[in-house]
Formats: sequence, C-alpha cells, structure tokens
Amino acid sequence: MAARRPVRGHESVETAKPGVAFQPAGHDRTIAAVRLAPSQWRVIPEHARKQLIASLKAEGFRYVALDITPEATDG
Amino acid sequence: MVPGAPGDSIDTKVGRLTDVLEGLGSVCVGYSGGVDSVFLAKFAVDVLGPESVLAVTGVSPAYPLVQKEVARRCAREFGIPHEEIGTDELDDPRYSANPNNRCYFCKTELWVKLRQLADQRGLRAVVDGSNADDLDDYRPGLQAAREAGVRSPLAEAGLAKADVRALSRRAGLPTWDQPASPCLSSRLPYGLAVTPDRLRQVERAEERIRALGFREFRARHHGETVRLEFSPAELDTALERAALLATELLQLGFNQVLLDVEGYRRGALNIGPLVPLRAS
Repeated sequence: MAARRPVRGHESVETAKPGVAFQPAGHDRTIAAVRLAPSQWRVIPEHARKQLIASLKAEGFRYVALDITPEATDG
Repeated sequence: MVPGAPGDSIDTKVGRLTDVLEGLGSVCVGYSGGVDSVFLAKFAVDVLGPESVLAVTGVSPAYPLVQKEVARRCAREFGIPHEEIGTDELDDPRYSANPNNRCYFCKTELWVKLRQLADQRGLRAVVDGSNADDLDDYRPGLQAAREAGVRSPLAEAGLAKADVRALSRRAGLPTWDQPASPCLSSRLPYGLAVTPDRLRQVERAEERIRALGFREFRARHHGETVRLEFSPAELDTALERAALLATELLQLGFNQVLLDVEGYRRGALNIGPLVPLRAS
C-alpha cells in the first residue's frame, strides 16, 4: 500500500489500494488529507490502516487525516 | 529542587508538600484553573490559611474562556482568594511569531507581573503548578519560571500528575479528571503567527465540538484548514459524526476540515525538529 509523492500540479495521488487518494493540506502542506469517507475508513482492517499511515509518513507527512469537508468525498 | 524518590508513597509526598509550603510561608499561585494549579491553591489555603495565599490568573486572548470559568468556580467554591490580571503576550513579536520557545516569552511576562503583585501584597513566594512529570517534558515556560525565581512545590514534593489527580479527587475538587487544557496558542503549529482572530477561531471551534458532547480533543489550526484530534476513546464517535463536525466548523471560516486518524497526542505540534532555546 505504498503512496507516491504527488507530482506538481497533479496532487491527488492514488495509493496501491484502489480508491484511496490523498492531497497535501495545511498552510505548510504537512498533512496528508486522505479522501476517504469515515465509514469506509472504519471498515479497513487495523493493520492496513497502520500500513497506510506509515507509508504516508514515510513520504514526509507529519499528520495523516481524513478529509471530511463535504465535497471532499462526494461522488 | 530535590524531587522525591520514585518509590515514595503519596502520603510521604503530601508531607513533603506541606513542608515546602510551610517553609515558604505565604504564596502567590499562578492559577490557570487546571488540575495542578487548582489543587496547589486549595492545598496552600488549607496549609497556610487564606490570608497567606493569592491565586492569580493571567488573562489574554490565548486563555480559554472555558478554563476561566473553571478557575472562578473553584476559587469561589473552595475559598481560594483569587484575582485576574491582563497579560499582553500577543503584543510581543517574539511571542506572536510563534517560535518553538513561544511559551518562554508568555511566562516571562506572567511571572514578572505576579512577582510585582506578590511584592505589593507582602507574599513571599511565587509558585506554579508544575508537577514532577512536567520536568521531563519540553517546557520553555519552565525555564522562564526558574529565571524568575518561581518555585514548583508539587514537583519539589515529587508529586506526579497521577498523584495530583488522586489527591484532587480525595479533596473533592471537580478538576480531578479534567483533561489537560493548555493555552489556545498551542493549537497553532510553530511558525504560524498567533493572532487574536486565529485564537478566536480555535476557541469557537472547540466550543462547538464540546457542545456536541466530546471531552478530550484539539482543533489544530493550519491556516484555512482545521485538523481535529480526538482521544482514542472518542475517535470512533468522531468518525460517526464527521459530517456534523464538518458542517459546524465550516461556519467558522475554515475551508477544509480534517479528522486526524491517529487521534489526540499531547504535544502533537512538537513533532519534528526543534531549534535550540534562546532566552531573548
């Protein structure tokens, strides 16, 4: 479930898990904002969640968070 | 400062705390309304009498209103002489630029004012509520306290946070299980300027989250983004109520609401490299 660093101008990046994407967020871009509905996050097995968090932190992000802004996971 | 031995019983530590306070004679307590300072002020009143104790709260936009209410209520209910003074740390660019030693400048201002007040009232010592656990943490504010000659009776007696909570419960203090509540500036990552508007945004965000029934959490300000941290016990509920949380917080001027999947960690904004402390 490795995440790849976003290419400039194409900052929504798919991870190896289909449907899991993230964007750098925050004033200093230190947050990996995962675009996944909370209901979907909750059904991911714990070891897979930990793996995803670890892979994003390995990319240099300090924090990993779900983007719960209404339009973020619509559609 | 000679902290107690790790194996000391809580009663031994309480005895030592009594000795420390009796040795000081009269005290001006830096009183935030948190677990530690409420216990210390109450205990000092019990040992020295109310005429020898003054609890003082420094009030600024960085001080949470909810905490001020707790401080006032505890002082009223437990007979603690209490005053509030205004502090102007936001006017100091060394503070408002939000370096990692920000607390040093805030506390320096606070302790100077408390020392002046203590001298005016004939109180011999200025004390704070630092406990033995705080000595191991990254606390520039503690350095300011030491430089100002502020004593830390709880830490000197070897009382750790868990001890203070147990003793608070025994004393009937409502703060015994109160979550830690540092100043609102701690919700802004180092380097993001501390402004009254941002502090107000954080305070309103946390008011709204508290009104939804949550107890231990932080609203971290990242510019146009707010990142929410919830304690492990409340994270599942936060995930269930994510849509409501987002709706509430978007009304406060944030453009993006994020829910941290790792939850609340004390000192989470200290993650990453820190520059060495500079005193001025």
